[in-house]
Amino acid sequence: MEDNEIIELYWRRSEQAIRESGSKYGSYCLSIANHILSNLQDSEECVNSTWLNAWNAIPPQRPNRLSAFFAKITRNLSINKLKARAAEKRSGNEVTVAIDELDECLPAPDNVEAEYQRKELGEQISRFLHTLPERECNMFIRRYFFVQPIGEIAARYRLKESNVLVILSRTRKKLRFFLQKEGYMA
Amino acid sequence: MNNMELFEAIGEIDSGLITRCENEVVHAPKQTWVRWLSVAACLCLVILCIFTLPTFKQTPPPPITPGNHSSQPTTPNNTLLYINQLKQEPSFQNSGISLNVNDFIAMTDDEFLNYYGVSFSINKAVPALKLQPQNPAKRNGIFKSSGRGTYYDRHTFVFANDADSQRIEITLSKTAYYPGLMVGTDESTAQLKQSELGGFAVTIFQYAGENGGTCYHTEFLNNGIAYCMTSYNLSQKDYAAALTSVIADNVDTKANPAGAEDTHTATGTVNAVDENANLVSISVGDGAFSTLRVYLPDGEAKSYSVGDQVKVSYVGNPITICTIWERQLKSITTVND
Repeated sequence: MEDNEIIELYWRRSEQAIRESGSKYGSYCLSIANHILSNLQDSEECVNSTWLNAWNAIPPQRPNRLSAFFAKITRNLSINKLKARAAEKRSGNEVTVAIDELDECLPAPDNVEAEYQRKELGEQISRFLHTLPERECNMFIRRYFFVQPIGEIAARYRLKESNVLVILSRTRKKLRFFLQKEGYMA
Repeated sequence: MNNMELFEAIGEIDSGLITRCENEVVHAPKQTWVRWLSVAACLCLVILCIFTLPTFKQTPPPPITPGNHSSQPTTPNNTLLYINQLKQEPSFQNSGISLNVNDFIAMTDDEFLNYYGVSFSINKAVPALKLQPQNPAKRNGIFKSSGRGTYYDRHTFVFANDADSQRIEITLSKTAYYPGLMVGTDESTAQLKQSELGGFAVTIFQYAGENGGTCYHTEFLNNGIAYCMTSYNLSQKDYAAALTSVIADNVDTKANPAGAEDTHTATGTVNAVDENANLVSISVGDGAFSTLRVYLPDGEAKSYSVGDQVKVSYVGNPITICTIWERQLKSITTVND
């Protein structure tokens, strides 16, 4: 089924939208989640939550690129899951539990501010990525957006892993320089 | 700003960049020395011809027999056989699919044969080779869930002699093109030739395996099933016989002529263009193998854009699964909706 047909199903509030999304993008999203979480059960949960988030977001949204839209949701959910896991590991420590309990005392505007800053930083990173040659840009996205292993990236581009590491290292240095210029780092 | 904040912010990048990355078609970088090497080789050939042509005129050509390692055509059992030699062991594409252990359904070899709807009589073609019992260390089965349907069904049938010194592995899949041979541009792909066995065109590759043994590899698509057939330490004659039997058992060439000289057409929508590799990717249907990659002559890829409706005419079967190489291409034209 074409992407615009799936989006139309979401707009019509048809549950078939979720089935079609799963059928077309299930393994794609699962792969993204599993690269971040390295746990199939957690990854499956994130993918199922992806369709729920999409259900809540469409309408009013009408994504131009459905795969990227799902990828971003899955990635965010997986990162949240990763953070929750880290918090669980810390939960035996009384001090960290006490600190976590204080989270709810923080005023909400901080989260809005953080969200705004994240989006703004994301835009700056996009600007930076547009300045890169296409292959370097794609390697960066594969590593830091899709979290693909170095070996997988090397196989894809038919390069040695050491070459991929060097290219990524150079790109990170360029990004650091770019962000410094934009005032993000001292 | 810490690492995690930066990592999260990368999740906010432009969706267009993500889509471009997903649709990227990777092609081996062109090596200029290969071109110069080709020119030098041609010059050598010309010089060689000048000095040796008179001798050839006086001497009858030596017979070409099955079992040699020439890329010249040979004709066992009235078939047209070309062997494409690769300089080194090729790499195979990896599948990035994630498997959920809860979706696993075990299958025996017989159940797999029923599932694919195929049969093999390799033992009759090469009596020394027998179907080996499944390796219990490997997962022998498919992965299926209500949401994803059958999403992984790759299985390898192994035929080997008693000493396990010679073997053929046949990997089938209905859902994913895996494993697939990756042939670099330095393999003189312009010269890849197709054999015709039982009226069906296939491309046979030969290379030295890990321990120096001779390997042959062929991959093709038939009736929605990807076949990858690789031999280890088998003679060319036996490999050809085994491959011929697989084709005879499973390919209906009368219903769908698919010889090395038969012309086919495919119509679809361009979904990716790679100008550097002179490659366009075309959606030609809804099935598992719905993408056809077409290599074009230098500079022609830029004439096409994502969304264009195109009609592709080509000779023979795709040299590697779902891939039309430039030498097979007869024409590609933009058509109206």
